[in-house]
Amino acid sequence: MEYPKEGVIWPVVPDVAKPFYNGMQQHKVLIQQCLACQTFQAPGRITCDHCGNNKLEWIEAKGTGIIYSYVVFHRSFHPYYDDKVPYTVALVELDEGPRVMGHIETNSGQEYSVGSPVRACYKTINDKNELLYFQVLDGDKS
Amino acid sequence: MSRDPLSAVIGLGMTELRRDYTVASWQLAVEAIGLAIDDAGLTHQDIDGLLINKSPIEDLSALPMDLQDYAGLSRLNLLNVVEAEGSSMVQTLQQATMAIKSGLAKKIVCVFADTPLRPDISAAESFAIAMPMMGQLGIEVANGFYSAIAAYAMAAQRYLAVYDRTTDDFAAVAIANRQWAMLNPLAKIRKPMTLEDHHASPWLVEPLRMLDCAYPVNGSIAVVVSEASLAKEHPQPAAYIYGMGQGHAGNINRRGFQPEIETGARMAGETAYKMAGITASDIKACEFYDAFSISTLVNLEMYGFCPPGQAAEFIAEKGIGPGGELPVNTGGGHLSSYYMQGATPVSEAIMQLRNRAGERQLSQLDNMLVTGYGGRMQFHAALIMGQ
Repeated sequence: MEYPKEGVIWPVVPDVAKPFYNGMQQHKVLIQQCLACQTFQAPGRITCDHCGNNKLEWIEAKGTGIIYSYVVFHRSFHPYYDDKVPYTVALVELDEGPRVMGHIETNSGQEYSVGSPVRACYKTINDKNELLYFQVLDGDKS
Repeated sequence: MSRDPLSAVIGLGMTELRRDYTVASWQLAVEAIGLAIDDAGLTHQDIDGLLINKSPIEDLSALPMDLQDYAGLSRLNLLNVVEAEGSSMVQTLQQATMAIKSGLAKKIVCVFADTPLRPDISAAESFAIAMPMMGQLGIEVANGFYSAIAAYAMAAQRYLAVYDRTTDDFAAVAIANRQWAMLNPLAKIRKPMTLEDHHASPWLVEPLRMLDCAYPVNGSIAVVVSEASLAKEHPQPAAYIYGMGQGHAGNINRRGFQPEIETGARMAGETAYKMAGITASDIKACEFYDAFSISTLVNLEMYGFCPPGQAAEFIAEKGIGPGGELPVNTGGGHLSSYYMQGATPVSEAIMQLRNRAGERQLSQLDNMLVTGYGGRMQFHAALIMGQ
């Protein structure tokens, strides 16, 4: 696959994921909930992964959660990241249950690990897009 | 043990496995197909099926249906490009077996080829695709979440945290692989590896180091699968298939599910063991798809050799290297021998089952577990093979 050489690569957003991206523009984390069984779903689905129902509703998550897992890129796989390594990307398990991906950022001296509490934040990318990331919160691991 | 095999592998063809680019994947595939047919003592006219395993990092045009014509096969009752990511090669052998048992075809070639090393790009760049962790959301791309290494690092970090382990567990896998590779003339990396070497290996995507990752090569591997009852008529000892299974447990990204470390391999194993009339304790050796060290730990657990989180203790107590109680990836695996995706475990299993594995030859191979997986350890296929 060929990617552009400059800037953050922004995905071609499929229709089913557009509400999530529109939510990011308004600094909201949108997830989905099954209208039949009420299971919260990670965004971008058209059927419930628990009961198979195809009526899902978009709702706003609280925006807090814990680090489910994370990785630290020590190698850049795209020119944009050449001067940004090491950077950390996590799967964050939101309080509601679904997991979403975002960079992890810390205040100086803050440590984190799997289980650390985080809060949704946003940064402006390519002068136009708001991208979700997660700020580590002070306090014990949950 | 008295039982009837489902099918038999009667031919193996391998091109030279190289760290530089020579010709395109389809040309390598044609060469491997010819070598496999020769090895089986057959001619091209005898072949009535072709199942193609295209590399997921290449376009469909790299190994198209036209491979039939490039290879000079014009009497096919079965022809398919099998797309199941890293589980494809094992799935081609499964499909061949099903076709033979149903009477659709009798002598089927399964072939894999890949050329990740190109004149213009490195293997690292070839594999530096954004891994789909988040389904249709596509947010990996905007997060710079590139390379298969990253997806496996995510699994690795989860594994370390949930089971309170250290990266020395990954070292135990890499070192065992290297010990096997030192006995395998086909293996690409054969110098000894110590725990200190692993500690000194640079992080690529933490917690995975360079020594935790597969070693890419260009090349092609093909096999011929036949009816089991006719297998003795061919020049090479047959490698029989006794059971097979698949497991695709889905990627459920929410609380209560850990698809990164609790995989569909469990289902694939259960189905395959049942079909072969065995349990995990009957397995004498494993040839796993092991593109990253973490996956061997998860495979040992999911295929039922030890409880989750205890793979490194199993390795320390039982041994998976030369002389170990459960030999695993006896040619050096993806980490130290050659990364030909699902064709690596298949080729090593056939060499072992033919008693052609030289210094690393195992004995009493009535049940070997041979596996493939694809994506981020999502798609699993397993074979029980034996002599």
